[in-house]
Amino acid sequence: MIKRIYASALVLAVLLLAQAAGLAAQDFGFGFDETEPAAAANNASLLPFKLKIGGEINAGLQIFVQDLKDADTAETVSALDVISGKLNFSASGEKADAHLGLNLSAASIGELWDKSASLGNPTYTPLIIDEAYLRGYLGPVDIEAGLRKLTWGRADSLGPLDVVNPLDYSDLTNITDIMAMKIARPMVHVTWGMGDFSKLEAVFIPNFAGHRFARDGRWTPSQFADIPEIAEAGILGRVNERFGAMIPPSLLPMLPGLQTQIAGELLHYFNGFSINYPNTGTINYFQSGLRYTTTIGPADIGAQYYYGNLFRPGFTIAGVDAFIDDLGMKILSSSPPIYSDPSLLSPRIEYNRYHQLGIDYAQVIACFNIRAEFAAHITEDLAGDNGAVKNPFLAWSLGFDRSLIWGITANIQCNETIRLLNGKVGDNPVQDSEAGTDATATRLTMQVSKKFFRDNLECKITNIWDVEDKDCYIIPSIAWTISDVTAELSAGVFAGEEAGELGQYWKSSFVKLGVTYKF
Amino acid sequence: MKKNVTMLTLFLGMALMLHAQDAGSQDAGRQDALSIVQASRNRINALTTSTRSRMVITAKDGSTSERLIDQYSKDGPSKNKRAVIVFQQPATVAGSRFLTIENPGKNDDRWIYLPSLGKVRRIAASEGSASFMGTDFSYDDISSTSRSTDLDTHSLLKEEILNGYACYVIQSVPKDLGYQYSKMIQWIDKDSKAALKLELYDKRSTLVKVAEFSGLKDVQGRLTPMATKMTTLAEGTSTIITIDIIKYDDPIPEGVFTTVYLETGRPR
Repeated sequence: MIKRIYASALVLAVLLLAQAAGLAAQDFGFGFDETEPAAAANNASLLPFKLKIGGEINAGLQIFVQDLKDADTAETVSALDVISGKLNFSASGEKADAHLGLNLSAASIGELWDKSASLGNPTYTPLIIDEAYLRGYLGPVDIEAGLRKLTWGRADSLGPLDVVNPLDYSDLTNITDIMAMKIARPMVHVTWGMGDFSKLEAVFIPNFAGHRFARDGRWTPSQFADIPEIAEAGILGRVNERFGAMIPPSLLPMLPGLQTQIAGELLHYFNGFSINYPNTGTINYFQSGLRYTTTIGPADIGAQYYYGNLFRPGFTIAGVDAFIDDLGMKILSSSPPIYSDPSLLSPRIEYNRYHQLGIDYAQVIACFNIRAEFAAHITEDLAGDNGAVKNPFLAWSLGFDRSLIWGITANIQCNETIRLLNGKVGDNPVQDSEAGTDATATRLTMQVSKKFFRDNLECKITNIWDVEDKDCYIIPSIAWTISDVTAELSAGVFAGEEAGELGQYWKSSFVKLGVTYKF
Repeated sequence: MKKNVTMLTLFLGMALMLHAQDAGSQDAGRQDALSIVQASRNRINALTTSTRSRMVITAKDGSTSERLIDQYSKDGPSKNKRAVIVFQQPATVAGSRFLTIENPGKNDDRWIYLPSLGKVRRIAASEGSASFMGTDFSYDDISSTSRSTDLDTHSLLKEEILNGYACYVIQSVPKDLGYQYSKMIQWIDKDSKAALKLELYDKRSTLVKVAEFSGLKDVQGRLTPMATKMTTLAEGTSTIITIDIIKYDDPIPEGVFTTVYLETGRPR
């Protein structure tokens, strides 16, 4: 089904590109490639539409420092990984635009022939598609439909209001390129121009996809890789908690040995267990939102409502107490050997529903280009005691950019989420997906850059610092651009606590050298 | 008719005054500096100005890079200046759009749309001295066509011949000490009131940039300089803007001068 949707989107886009129906998109100014008035007249008669083909070719290498140190665990470098590219087609008719953007790489092309790939998943956007959509202009209303990436909110780096598209975390080397990280989603997006500087947007997404994480390899987050250990520890903790009251004191001496046995059984069970993600491809997982933006005096402001699903899933195990009850009954009624029954356990991954109410603001004050966002997220756990559902939370973002001395520019942004009803969060991670996590999550993104030689050379350093996790990701880069060609040398260094969201990738620090040609 | 001067052709704008119908050449010599500058800036009458220009940026080593830009300007309802620049080439900047709206007595509003960001972003006035998209023009240079004559103190330094034109040499000193330049000296043709040359001095009174105007051409009855060269002396770089097409009074929808247009490239 979903393949047909993607195919339909592509076909529509290609048809419009091929037909390029209609007249010139712009009835003022200049046509594409117009350089002389006479040429303009000729172009007008020969090409009554605007057709653009562009893209880029990238060639480069990235080296993971740890791979140099440890040949046994080093990942294979494929010759095809060295080159990649993008191809963009756009056509403009009198009342419509079409855009088709393709990501071309060994992975995106190889996926098309890979029978084990996720292409059959109705929520999966193929790697090869960057965006594919049509946009119609109906007076004050624009209607877009297709696979689209939207940016909502004012923040420069993933503020709380930028909720429409999930992100691809399967490769963190491009974390500063937000648009590249965004995953296009099938949607209908309507914009109603309510004046020169005001508009009301509505978006509807018929199904849902969460953030994309690597399932294996260096970018697999420990939160997923460690699920067997988390499950084992959580269940055993609950066993100890309940057996104190359940098992007669005379049988307690047998518990240590039994615990070891159960631990082995649980690990065996969970290591062979394939986590079933919910089928979010149905209309039941629809998302929708409204966003109003306007300019009042020197300030740009916005407000939005969004009804969606949290992009990060929660992991819990149902049936833990049934598992323990069953085990207890066996201890009381049987003689050793006693075996547990892990099949009574029901691990589940859930994407929680939520309502978001948010506002944003941007203004230049005293030479500081300020951007701020604030949002309240209302989940379905208003009491805060449902372990399978994340608690309601607040989120805010405050940032600015400012020209400093010697042409140096600083761009600083702080994002924070604050969990409400934190006291109601349980302490067992298999029964409460938020157990053991901080009530706040604060990320500070700092970027300092300077351009030289008429912007041809740019030196930049970005530091992403997670305050609670005490870890960071530092990305220095130097890029040289001449006309359409950019050569860039960059690096990524993960540091800090190894249990942190960023620090866990300390073995993935890298150096990257590449050349990009845009056309 | 509304007055309008193309934004990016700031200095062209000054030069556009050549052979203005209302240029009182016989009396010009007796005018004071302020009235000369006002006459120079008010010379061109057009409802709108649309240009397609080629920018050639020359580095110190002589290497060049080229950009193709479209620019649309039109006065707002309150006679404030408004302009949009659309970058067409090269591919690294194609699709970028820039909007500036003058707010008399206050900082201009400036927004930019960068395809890589996917959204419109406000730009701070503090970035005024920064290079505009890698050219020798700063953001202030780009916006300074809307600079009111009241913001500077003007004085007539001397009269001299420049490239065969008898010129007034007028110094303009910004009243705002925070402005990028400490003074500006321009050569204005006595006959036509067109500015032919402009020198820009930094806060240490060091000459940092020179703008020169050439290639005068009659466009719709308005003598228009088709080329402007801005040289940054210390860096040995220059940017030449050559107008490929210029249209005066070509209808430009109001919707062009909006942030909505920046996003889609379509006026409503």
